[in-house]
Amino acid sequence: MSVKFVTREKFPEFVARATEGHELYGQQSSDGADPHMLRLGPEQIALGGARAVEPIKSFLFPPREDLGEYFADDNEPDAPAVALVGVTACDLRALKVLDQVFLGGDFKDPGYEKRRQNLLVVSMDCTRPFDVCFCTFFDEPPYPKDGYDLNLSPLAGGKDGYLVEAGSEKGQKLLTGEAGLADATAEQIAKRDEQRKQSAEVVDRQAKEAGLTATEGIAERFQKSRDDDAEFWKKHADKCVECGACNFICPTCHCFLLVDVEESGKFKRFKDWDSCLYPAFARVAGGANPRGRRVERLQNRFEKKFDFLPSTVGLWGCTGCGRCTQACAGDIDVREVLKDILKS
Amino acid sequence: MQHPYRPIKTEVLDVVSESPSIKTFVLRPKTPIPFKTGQFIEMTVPGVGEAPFTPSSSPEIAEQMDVTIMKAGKVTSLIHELEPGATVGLRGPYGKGYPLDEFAGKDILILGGGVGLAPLRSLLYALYADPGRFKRVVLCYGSKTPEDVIYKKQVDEWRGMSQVELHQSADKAGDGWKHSVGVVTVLLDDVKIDPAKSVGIVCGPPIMMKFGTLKLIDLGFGDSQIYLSMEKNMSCGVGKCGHCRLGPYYVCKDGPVFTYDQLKGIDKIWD
Repeated sequence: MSVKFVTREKFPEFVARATEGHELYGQQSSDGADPHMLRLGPEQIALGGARAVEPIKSFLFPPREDLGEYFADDNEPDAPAVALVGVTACDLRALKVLDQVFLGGDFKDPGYEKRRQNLLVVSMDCTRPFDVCFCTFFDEPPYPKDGYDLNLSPLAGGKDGYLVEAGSEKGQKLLTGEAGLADATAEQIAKRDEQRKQSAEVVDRQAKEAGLTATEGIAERFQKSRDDDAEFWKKHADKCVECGACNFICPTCHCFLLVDVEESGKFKRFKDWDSCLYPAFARVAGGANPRGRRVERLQNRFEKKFDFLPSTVGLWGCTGCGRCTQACAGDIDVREVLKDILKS
Repeated sequence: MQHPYRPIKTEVLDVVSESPSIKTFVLRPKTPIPFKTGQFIEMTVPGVGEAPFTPSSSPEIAEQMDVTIMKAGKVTSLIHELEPGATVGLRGPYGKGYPLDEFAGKDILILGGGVGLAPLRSLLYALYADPGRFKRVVLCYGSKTPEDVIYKKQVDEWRGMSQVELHQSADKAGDGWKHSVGVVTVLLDDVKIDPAKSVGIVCGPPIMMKFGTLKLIDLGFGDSQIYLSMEKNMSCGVGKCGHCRLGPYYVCKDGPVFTYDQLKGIDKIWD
């Protein structure tokens, strides 16, 4: 598949054509500011190369989803076509986990399925990793390998234009329609590859400095020893304030609760985000709680990501995006916990 | 296809009081819900919430089902107030049921405690609907007191049936009680069974499941011959919401029936 080139000047028009018919969300980067995925016009989009503060999961798995009225026959959830511009590799990998959860198995989640079908994913190379990023620990580079419709590689932060590549049939169709786009030159591709290499080196160095060298043995740690009272688990759990921020900001966390309400004589059900750090998460009727202690709940969070998901769907439940480290009110650093698990 | 999270409108046809804290609800969903014995459903109190239960009726009947419920929390307390004619919601069935094919040709030793007899009654219906397929069915049923015995009429019927061999105990009982006194595992001392040709099925409160399992192992049952009905916080029922994770499993999707072999390495299975 050939790589195309879009000039800085033509970029807004290109984005407008590629995302036509979609609600457009993208990054608006101003120097050094933390980027967010915002509802923007094509001319407002500027990709600075850093992942957004929030993951993209809420576009597919909203914090509260209206599942409709009970006993209703209509089965079709409504979902607008949405285009996201500036999705990073870490979030593309999270998308794979969410796809497994909500579309895998005997039952598909109808709302997720519809939103997923109507989603156009325009990703980008990460050229400005945060200091908490450690994706390379999972042998994954900070640029997209797959899982996107189109990928953009900003050259010199977009100043020298963008390289564009298709990663799906949908994306290929969009590019085929772009007869006016030049093929990327060998020089431009070399520049992109150099940028990618540099980002990967930055993340790799950060991960190693944090004591994270190889994932080998993580799952086995959980299988071998589940000693809740290990000093390091207590040390981290003592700092947890059970706020759920790590869950809500995590691109792969997907636990939810079905909530029933009565509204003017009608019965409705909602699907709300839930947090496994909340005390009642695993409690059953009658009060028994297999994870009544906070240390058990924190351990569950890590076990789910580093043992359960790898062993059941073959994917890490962590992308190394570092968002939980940034969000934690108690200063729990996911890298520290991982380091301790590996040492245990 | 039925929406995975939305219930089917269901009428409460009848309510049977089983014990001071347990009632059986006879339910007729608008659309039949065929189930395999051992699978579970989610029952909704409209506008309030839902809870998981394993039907206690015969899997041969899809149009209606019996659900036997102990008053334990918010939803079950409200369910206990329901009267015939009330509307509830049902969705399911979920999970894997009892693997009847694996039971074929074997002696089946069933250990039930308290309201844990509910799913086992459904299993018994399935077993004696197919006589000859299973060599022998032994039911050991324990309850706290004689008053707490559920399905009293039916238990008396089973006593007279050739297909079922019934042993009963109560933790505490007065002089009128003609059966054993003590926890349900004491009954196993009187049961002659060859573990090599048998399966053991345990369903009841966690503590009873634990000691029932240990006793069966003591008697010579292999870990993969012991079938346990696990109870965790099954919320979505379809393996997505994350609440009922137990080691590498979701109880809702991979269970609720597991062999002890599947569970033995997992931490806190009895909690």
